[in-house]
Amino acid sequence: MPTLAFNHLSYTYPGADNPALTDLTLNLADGASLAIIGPSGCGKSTLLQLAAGLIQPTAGTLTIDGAPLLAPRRQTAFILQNHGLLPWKTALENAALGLIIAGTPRITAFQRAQTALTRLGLADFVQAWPRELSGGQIQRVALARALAADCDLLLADEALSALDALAREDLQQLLLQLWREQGYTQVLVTHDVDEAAFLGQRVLVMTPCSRPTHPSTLLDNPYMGQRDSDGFVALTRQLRELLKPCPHEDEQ
Amino acid sequence: MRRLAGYLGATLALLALWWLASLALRTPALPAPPAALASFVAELPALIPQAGTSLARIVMAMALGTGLALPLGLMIGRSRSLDALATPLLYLLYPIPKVVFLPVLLVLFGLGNAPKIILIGLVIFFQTLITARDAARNIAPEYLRVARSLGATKTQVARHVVVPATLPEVFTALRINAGTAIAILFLAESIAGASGLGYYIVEAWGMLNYAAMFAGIIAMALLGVVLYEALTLAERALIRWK
Ligand SMILES: Nc1ncnc2c1ncn2[C@@H]1O[C@H](COP(=O)(O)OP(=O)(O)O)[C@@H](O)[C@H]1O
Ligand SMILES: [Mg+2]
Repeated sequence: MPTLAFNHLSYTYPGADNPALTDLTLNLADGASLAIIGPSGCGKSTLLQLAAGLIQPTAGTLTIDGAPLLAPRRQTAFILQNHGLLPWKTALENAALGLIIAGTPRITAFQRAQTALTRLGLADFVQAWPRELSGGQIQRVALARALAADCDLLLADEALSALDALAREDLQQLLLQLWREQGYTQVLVTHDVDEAAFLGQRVLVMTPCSRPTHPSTLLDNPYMGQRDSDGFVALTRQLRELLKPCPHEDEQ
Repeated sequence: MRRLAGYLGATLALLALWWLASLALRTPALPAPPAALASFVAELPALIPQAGTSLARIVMAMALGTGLALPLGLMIGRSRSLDALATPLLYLLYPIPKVVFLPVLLVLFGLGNAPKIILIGLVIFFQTLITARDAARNIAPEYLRVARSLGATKTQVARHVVVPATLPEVFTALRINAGTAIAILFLAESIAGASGLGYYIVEAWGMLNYAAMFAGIIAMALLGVVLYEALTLAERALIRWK
């Protein structure tokens, strides 16, 4: 399992005036779970794309197990809010895609995808097209792809945001279970305070005031997975406080 | 079954219109449907080989034009540098009616199959190239990211994303191509050559045998139906996810 190190990580999109992400330093231990929360536009998706190796930092470094990440890795699974599945592939083909791209023989790939789908309660939907699946089922297929490929790093970008409340809690529970069972490292971006507190061992709050003078806040979270405990409720309150828009932002 | 009923209805409506028109115009140039249909049945032995020749030319031309344009168009649509290189050239050549090249093709390739196939292929090539390029340009970046984040190579991205994502638009292009192909084919066969439905129609016309001429026209319409239906079947088999 990998350790991730972000070292003064910054990224500016080509042609953009302002950086999308500025000077983030953070270490993630092997098997850790980090939740990231923050207002839209603060650079969460950019950070995940960097961690996925889809873009390269414009300053600072990002290393996985000590080596700079120069291209996407096979054992990294990336789950998106929408468009995570290819609509022209069945649930089974989508779940097997990571393995197929990695060059696994088709029979083995499909067997492992089938096992993963079954584990996630989708045994009856193996041959379904994505358009025939609910939002929750679609995200399960995306998770099945990660499981089938035996991923060691799971990145999720607002993966549950489009789901209704029931399906979302269901999937949160599943994510927690899988993480405990599989032991992979995970980085989950969310805009939901509850979700961050439920799934993050640590919670990175990228505040609206995240300028060099107002750095992001990193909170330890011993209450992971314990919804309704006093500590959990207190943490969500603290997160809400941190996420309040800061009054002097416009004048800077 | 419903499609068959649709064809039946459309045919009856067309026949009725045709009949009315022929009654109103009262000219031998527009025979009444019974005469034309009788001639179609009588001429079948002569029509079938001509239709076969025409169909073979169209299929070859479509295979050639699409086969070359599709990979090229998809590549141009996915590569900015290739696009910058190819698109100005494309826009210069695309508006030229390709039929003006027929004399040159006739000089180069004679009166046989080759100039006709090349002419139709040329028209289809440009149409398909532009459709394929635009379709490849417009692929949702999220789908590309899915494949890339899994570490897909360029070939794998093409295979798992670019080709399947653009296939519906490719079929639209193919259907348009089928119509264009028949129109150009008629032109090529009637101007130069001694075979095919276009030749047959113009020959009958020259002999003022209007009933035979309309038999040829009916055969040409049927040729179109065969092409469109074949494309629909292929589309259903290849695009099951929509
Ligand atoms: N492809 C892009 N090109 C230019 N700017 C971008 C691009 N994607 C995002 N940005 C900008 O970078 C900043 C961070 O975006 P993003 O990482 O998507 O934020 P978040 O996911 O937290 O909402 C925003 O100001 C956004 O407008
Ligand atoms: Mg985002």
